[in-house]
This record gives sequence, C-alpha cells and structure tokens, in this order.
Amino acid sequence: MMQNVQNQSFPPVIKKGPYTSEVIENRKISEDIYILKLRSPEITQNALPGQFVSIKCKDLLLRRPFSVAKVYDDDTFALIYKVIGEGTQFLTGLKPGNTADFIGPMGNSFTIEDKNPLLIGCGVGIAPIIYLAQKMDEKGIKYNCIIGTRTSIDLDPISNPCFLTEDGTCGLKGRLDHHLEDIIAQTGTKKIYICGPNPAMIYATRAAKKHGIEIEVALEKVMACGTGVCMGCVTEITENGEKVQRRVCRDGPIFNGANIIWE
Amino acid sequence: MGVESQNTTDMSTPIGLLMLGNPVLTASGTFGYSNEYEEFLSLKNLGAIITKGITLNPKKGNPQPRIKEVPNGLINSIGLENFGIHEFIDKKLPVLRDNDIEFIVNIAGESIDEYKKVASTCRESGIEAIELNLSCPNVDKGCLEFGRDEETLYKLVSEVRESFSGVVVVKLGSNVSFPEKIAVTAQKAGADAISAINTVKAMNLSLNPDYKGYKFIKGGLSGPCIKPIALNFIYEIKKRISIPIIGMGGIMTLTDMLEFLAVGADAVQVGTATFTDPNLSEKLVFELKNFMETNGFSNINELKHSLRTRT
Repeated sequence: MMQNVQNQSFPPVIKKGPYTSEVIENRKISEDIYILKLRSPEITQNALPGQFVSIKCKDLLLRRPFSVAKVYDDDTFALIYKVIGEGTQFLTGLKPGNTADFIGPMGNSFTIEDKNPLLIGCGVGIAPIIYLAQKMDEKGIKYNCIIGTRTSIDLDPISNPCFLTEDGTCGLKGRLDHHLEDIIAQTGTKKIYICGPNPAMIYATRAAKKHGIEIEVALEKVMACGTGVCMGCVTEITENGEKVQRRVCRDGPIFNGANIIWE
Repeated sequence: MGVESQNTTDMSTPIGLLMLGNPVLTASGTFGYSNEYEEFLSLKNLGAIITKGITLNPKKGNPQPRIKEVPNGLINSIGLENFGIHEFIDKKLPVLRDNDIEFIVNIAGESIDEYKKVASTCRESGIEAIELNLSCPNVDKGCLEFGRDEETLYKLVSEVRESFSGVVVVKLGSNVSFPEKIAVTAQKAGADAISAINTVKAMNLSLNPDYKGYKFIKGGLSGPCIKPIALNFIYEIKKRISIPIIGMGGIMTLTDMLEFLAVGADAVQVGTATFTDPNLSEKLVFELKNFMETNGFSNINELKHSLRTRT
C-alpha cells in the first residue's frame, strides 16, 4: 500500500491553497482601477507571468480571478483590478491588516523569449503585462511596452514604457489601433504579448498576422471553478488545423493569438 | 478532540457492495475525472469522488454562455462536454488506480443502448461502481428524458443492471412530477442507491439597457438556494424506498450535511461548494469526525438514528 501512495511516476504536488493572506495595500491608481497588494511567499516564489489567483469575495459563491501584476522582495505581490461588479466592489473595501482568501497560482503563462518583444497592456489588462515586463527585466531581455488606458494611471516605474491614453492626459493620445502599426514599424518587433479588451486583442492579432510576427494573448472569461473541471470558460481555438475547445482557466489564459477563433 | 478516541469513530458507509470510508463524496461535474483537486486536498480523505459525466463518444457540449452566478446559486449549461469513455479508461482510470482513489463513474447518454455500452465498457475495465445520470436538464436528448418517465426509467435501469455487475447508483433530479414514484421505480429496476438532486431547471435574464429585449441563459441551478428543494425531495423519497440515498444540493457546511442525514440521506455529495472552497469536501470529513467524537457518536448509524428521532 505504501508503495502505491509514494508512486514515483507522479511529480510532487504543489499545493495551491486556499491561502489566507494579509492585505498590505489597496489603492486607487486610475479612475476605476485599483492595485491590491497581498503578502504570500507561495505566489512570489511560484507565480509565472500570465498566471492568476482566484479570490473569495465575501458571500459570493464563485471566486473572482485576477492576474498577478507584480511581485516584490518582501513576499508581497500586487493585483490590479477594475471595479465592475459585486466581487470587485467588495475588494475596494479591503484595508491593510484585513485578510484575503485566495487560491493560486492558476493557469499557464507567457513564453518568455527574446524576439525583440512588444508588450501591450490595455485597461485592466495591464496587470499580466507589467508582471511579464518585470520578468523580462530580470532576465535582461530588452522590450518595448505599451500601457494603454482611458486616462492617466499611477504605476511603479517599468522599463521603456510608452503610455497611451484615450484622453491624452499621459503619453500618446488615442487608442491602440491609432498607433500600433507605427510602433510595430519603429520597433521591428518579432513578437507581441497582449492583454486587454477583445477589440484591442483582435486588432493586434490582425496586425501581427499582416506583419508576419508572433503574438501571445491573455484571454479573460467568466469562470466558475477556475481550476479546469467545470468546462464553463471554454473557448474555441484552432490546433493543427482543427477546431477544438480549450479551458481559459487551465489550458490558458495564455494562447497563441493566431489560433483564437474570436466570437 | 477526545484524547484516545481517534480510532473509535466509525464513519464507514456502505453504498451497495461498495464500502466507503466516510459519507462525503464529491458531485459529478464539479471535481474533474481523477486527481484534478490534489493541489487542494488529500483525495484519500474523501468517501469517494464521482467523476464528471461520461458518454460513449466525445461530446462538445453547449455554446457559450455556459455559466451565470445568481444570488446563492449558479446556473450552468455545460451540456456534458467530455472526452468519451475510451479516453477516460486510457488516461484517467490509471491515475485513479495508481493514487488509490475511491471513485464512482458518472454515465450519461442519448439512448438506453449508449448507457448500456458505457456500463459494459466500465465492467470490462473492472470499474466497481457507476452513477447513471438520469437528470441532467441541459441536453436535448437523454438524461432527464429517461429520468422522468417511469416506464423508460425501469427499462434503462434494469437493462444496465444486467450489463453491469457492480454498484449502480441512479441520479435523480427535482424536475419531475412524482419524485417518489420515480425513486421506487429505480429501486424496483435494481438500483443499489439513489443520488439526488441534480440541478434544477432555471433561467436568468439580463434586460437590455434600452428595455428592448433581453439576453438569457437557461440551465441547471445549483448552490445553497436549492437546498430546501433537495431536502424536501429526499424527505419524500425516503418514505418509499429502502436502498441508500446519497443527498446533495447546496451543501456548504457541516450543519447542511447533518440536515441531509436527518431527512434520510446515508451519504452526501459536495458540488458547487467546491468552486467556493476547493477543499470543502475534505474539511467536512474532518468536521464530521470531530463532531461525532465531541458528541459521543461512535458510528454513523448512531448519528443518523439520533438525527431522525421525531420530537
């Protein structure tokens, strides 16, 4: 019996919570966007860019998923969230010293490679992109990064940012589709990494195809389990020329943009 | 915790010939096929896991949207997406066996023949227990179609019974006119146990902002809001059948679980609550054991007997 339990063919299981962690900071950084810092060595040591945590929000039945946005030396990590519904409304009320219950890190991650990368985060989609930038900095990979928001945003400094605001209060004025072609031409990037609203990701995917460059996208979808068992968040993609359904929470949230069948 | 009582509390629960270590199971569709939740708990601590519904061939399921949270509940319309019994046997069964996990295979189908074929495949692979999904409200054909008509249900269960020598659990739901008649029929047809309830047919609307039309999702409702429906269902069928009942529907706490035992359940399944707390099922096992020790119940039958005392 013992041999069976200790079966060598299975790698050791990394526990993913639930963890109860201390709230360090919860601060508004743009009109309806907040940064939430939690203390958790489990996340700072294990989370890869693109992965997310799912937070229990008060009495709501389903946890809410949020991308890891940054990790710090003192075992804390940051999430960036936009106030949309009951779950995120609850988060705004968290104060330093309170605790948050979360599981993670969940999902797959961006492929970090040095192909003169162009990182694009739009709206609350900046979260995984900022973490990706942090990891690229650590690896000494040079990149360009577009941070596109409706209005100016108060972020920790990142290397080479190109701010893009719809209202022109910071950096370039306008939306991604007004500037992307120019930026691709100027930077000569060979790979785009993007997270943002679907129209921005669809636009970037088309541009990538046109210029023959790679693109990885971070998808967002309403999730029930967030662990890969309920099949609630499946999305259609093409794999080897075949239409298949993949779980955003487990097989994703990062996919090859060229394979996505946009709804 | 009693000082020397750790080994004297007997939670073992028979479901037909299957002897479970305790009465806490995880519900089909909420726990994957095998070891998906090992990142959150020790699977060996559970009474058993019930695997996600399996059909003969792979099934694509329903289009999006598939899920919608409502107050104290969840509407799902997954439509039984799964990779078919053969991939289950090839990929998941070895994981269940190598990890020594107690399990029951949930089966769905569009025809009686499909249920029989999947059950036979299970028998050939040495699977000990199956749960027949005769109550999923999210598919056009099969499942509930067979679970709401006594004649069809009898035919299906008795024929599967002939092709499968192990334990047959019949999973019923509340979307029927006469639950007790359906349960009696399942027992007559040879079911070893009844599990209930599956999700409740439901719909959620989102009115368009201009009040011209609406968007909607129809599906099966689960979560704490269906607990009263589930308790009533089990209370009613318990009067008429003698085979074990595995109760489910909105169980989130130890008290919920005790309520199910009180109305007649012999074991319970934790479903949607796993999405809230991935290790809830395991916590309930520990809490139940602790509760029995604290209150001097040496085995689960004593507890059930006490809970069912009419006052």
